[in-house]
Amino acid sequence: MSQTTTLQDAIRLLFVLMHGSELLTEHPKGFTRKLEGRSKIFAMDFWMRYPDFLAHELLNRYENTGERRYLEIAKKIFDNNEPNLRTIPMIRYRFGAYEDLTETIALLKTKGLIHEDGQKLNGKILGYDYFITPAAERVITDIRKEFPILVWYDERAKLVREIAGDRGGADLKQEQYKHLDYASTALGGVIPSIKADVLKRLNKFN
Amino acid sequence: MEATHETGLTLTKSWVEAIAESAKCDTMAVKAFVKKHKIIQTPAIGRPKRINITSIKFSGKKVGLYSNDFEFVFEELGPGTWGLLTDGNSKGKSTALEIIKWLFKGKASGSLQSGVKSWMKDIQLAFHIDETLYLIRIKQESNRFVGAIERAGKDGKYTVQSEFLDEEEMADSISSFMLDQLEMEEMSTFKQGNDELTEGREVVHGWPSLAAAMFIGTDYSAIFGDTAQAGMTNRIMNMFMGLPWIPTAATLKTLEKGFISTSSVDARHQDWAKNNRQERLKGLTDELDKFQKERGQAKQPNTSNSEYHNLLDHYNQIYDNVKGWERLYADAEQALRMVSAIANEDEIKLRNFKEDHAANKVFKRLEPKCCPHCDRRVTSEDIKKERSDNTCAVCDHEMLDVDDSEEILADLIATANASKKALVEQRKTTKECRETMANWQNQESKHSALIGKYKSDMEQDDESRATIEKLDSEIARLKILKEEYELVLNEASKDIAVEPHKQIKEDPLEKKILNAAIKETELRYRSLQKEILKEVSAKMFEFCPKVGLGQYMSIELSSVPTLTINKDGTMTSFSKVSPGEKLRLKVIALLALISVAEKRGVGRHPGFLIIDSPASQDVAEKDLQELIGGLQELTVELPYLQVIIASKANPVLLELIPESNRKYANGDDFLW
Repeated sequence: MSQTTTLQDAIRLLFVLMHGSELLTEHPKGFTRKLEGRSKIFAMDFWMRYPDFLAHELLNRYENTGERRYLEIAKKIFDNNEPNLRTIPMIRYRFGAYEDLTETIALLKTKGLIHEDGQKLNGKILGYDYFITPAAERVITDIRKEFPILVWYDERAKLVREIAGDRGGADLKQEQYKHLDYASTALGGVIPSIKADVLKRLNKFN
Repeated sequence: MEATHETGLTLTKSWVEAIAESAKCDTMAVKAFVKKHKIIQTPAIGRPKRINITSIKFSGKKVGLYSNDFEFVFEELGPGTWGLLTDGNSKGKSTALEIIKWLFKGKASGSLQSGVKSWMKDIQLAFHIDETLYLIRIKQESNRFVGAIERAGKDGKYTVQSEFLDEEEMADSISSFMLDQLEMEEMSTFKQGNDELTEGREVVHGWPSLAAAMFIGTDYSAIFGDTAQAGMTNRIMNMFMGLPWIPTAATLKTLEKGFISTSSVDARHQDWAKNNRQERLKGLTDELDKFQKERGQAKQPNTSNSEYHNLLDHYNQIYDNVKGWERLYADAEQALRMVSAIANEDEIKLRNFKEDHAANKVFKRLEPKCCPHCDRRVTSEDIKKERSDNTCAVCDHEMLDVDDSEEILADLIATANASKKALVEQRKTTKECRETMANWQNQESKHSALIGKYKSDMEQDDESRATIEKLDSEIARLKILKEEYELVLNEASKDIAVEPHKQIKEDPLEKKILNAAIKETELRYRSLQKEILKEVSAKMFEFCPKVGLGQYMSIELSSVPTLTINKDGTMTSFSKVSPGEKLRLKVIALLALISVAEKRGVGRHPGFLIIDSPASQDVAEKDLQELIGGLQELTVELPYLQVIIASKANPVLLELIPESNRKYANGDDFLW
């Protein structure tokens, strides 16, 4: 299990926002992309942080589509020992996997990479919208060129988006709840790994 | 010293002294004579003892026309008249009777067919001698023959008195037991040679001859016993009368006849037993050869306990190795998990550091744009101030630009490499442990199968091992018996060489001593014998009307013994009367003997009698009826008397012997 720094979390979240958001054709403030709602961020971040749950989803996809690529990716996740090396624990809260992202979002906002907004009622935000700035697009281009160690987040966020598709946060949580270990985790408890079960499933396909 | 005989005869000298005086020689010469000729002094008067059969059981498997398991049980017998009755012939009556005779006498008669005898697996005869219960039992199985005389204690449990392993031993055991119990001795008689050129010889009559007085068969030639041979009847009568000195007198008489017939002294000891022993030795030798041949052909077992234990020892060593390596492998696995966790942790730390370092570089390049809390825009002045004062443009906090990342990175890389190397090593160690363990497990599995097969082979060998053990045991037993017989026969031959009889014949002193001894011995029982014979004659006469011999006007038993009978005023004798009368006379003679013995407290007949086939064609039905009726009456007068009658059933027997006292095969039924 890994304990990451705010900077690592900010990079991971930047890629989640980038790949999880929808392209804006025209925005008065020049924002390039938009992502609605925090729950989708948490749902996608859960798959970023639990490679075994992602592999389980990939195997589901393989079973549904017969596309061998998904099986190969799931296999590679295990070959690279990712469940042991890349798992970043999350706790189960009232609305599924959760982590306080205030600090991480603050960093992205201060550096002018995202803009946080939302529908407001009497000065209170009811639902968050996240906008990607052109500066973020440049930073991502730089990372891809200069910092290969961070490229894993780019690739993984793309894969997570592919698996998530156009489903909203609520739908994704429902999908993730299907796994008993996740669903039966007590509120406030760390969501456990399911690597043994997934490995068993994976071995059946070999 | 003067001694008074119980009969009133006053003895002034001992037997040896009296003989010395009569022979006019030294007592030492008499003692030497007695010792040399092994003459046993038997001055004791017989005291009556009572024998009652309580049960007869035998079982086994018939072979032949009717092949089936059988069991014969006749039990809860006691004093009184009892019957073994069948309607048809060959229904098992004679065999049952012969079985009783076999166990009671110790020696099977020729009438007991060897085939039928071999069917018997288990035979038991229980009987009381006075108050004590005894059991003679035999078990026969293939070539095994075992038996014992057992005595019941007060708690009903039997203790073995003597055991026997073949029929020869059985005869010896039962003979010794019965003679001892009834205080009798073996007696010798002299059997004349067949022709002038053949020497006569002494025949020793043991228990079987004496016991004949308890069995009345269909040969009525002798008043007592079943044979009139060589003065035996006389001696049986005297013995059962309880007279003292009878065996001594018999030995002396035999010795006297031996002198006359020029047979050797030692030929006396070459009795029928010796001939039997020689026959037995030959039988043993043949049997031994047969078993040794079978032993040579028996299948040899290929397995052995010691080899099995060697295999087991080897297996245990392998098993220890399996367990040892399983423990080592478990330890290695645990260590691998630990090292693996450490290596993962080190790799995570290194990657986190690298990612954090890269992320730091990414974000350092970017100027702050606004306050994340209030969204106030950061101005160019704020940026200038940050650079000049080294304080944050957003929160004004002092910024330290320390970069020791290279050093930390080098440490993390070194640590991660070290733990990775340790992981590789531990994986190798674990793999080796697993392979070694698997190798031992494989060996264990193979060896376990090997032992399983060996054990199965051993079980198969058990059968041939049992056969060989049985044969070895038989061979050992037969060798011992053979040696014993050879030894006995050799010793007997040596005796002959050392003591030729002619020395005695030519020694006038010995002749004088012998004559004096016969005279003196006869003197010591004659008077008592005369008294008892008189009383027995009177008793017989008293019994005559009870068994339908009321026409007899007088009857006198002599010491020969002969019977002089006054029948309706005509004098006749035992040998001249009809078979039916003979049978009744035989019975009443014995009963009179028993009755007188009982009254006087002197006698040796045990009050037990078996009569075989009294209803034979020579005996008239009326005679039989009178005999059985008389017996019923006499068993009241002699309450301890037990009479067992084995016969073809007829209305007389069925009427007189109650159902509770008989074993009866009705119609075509068999007794067993």
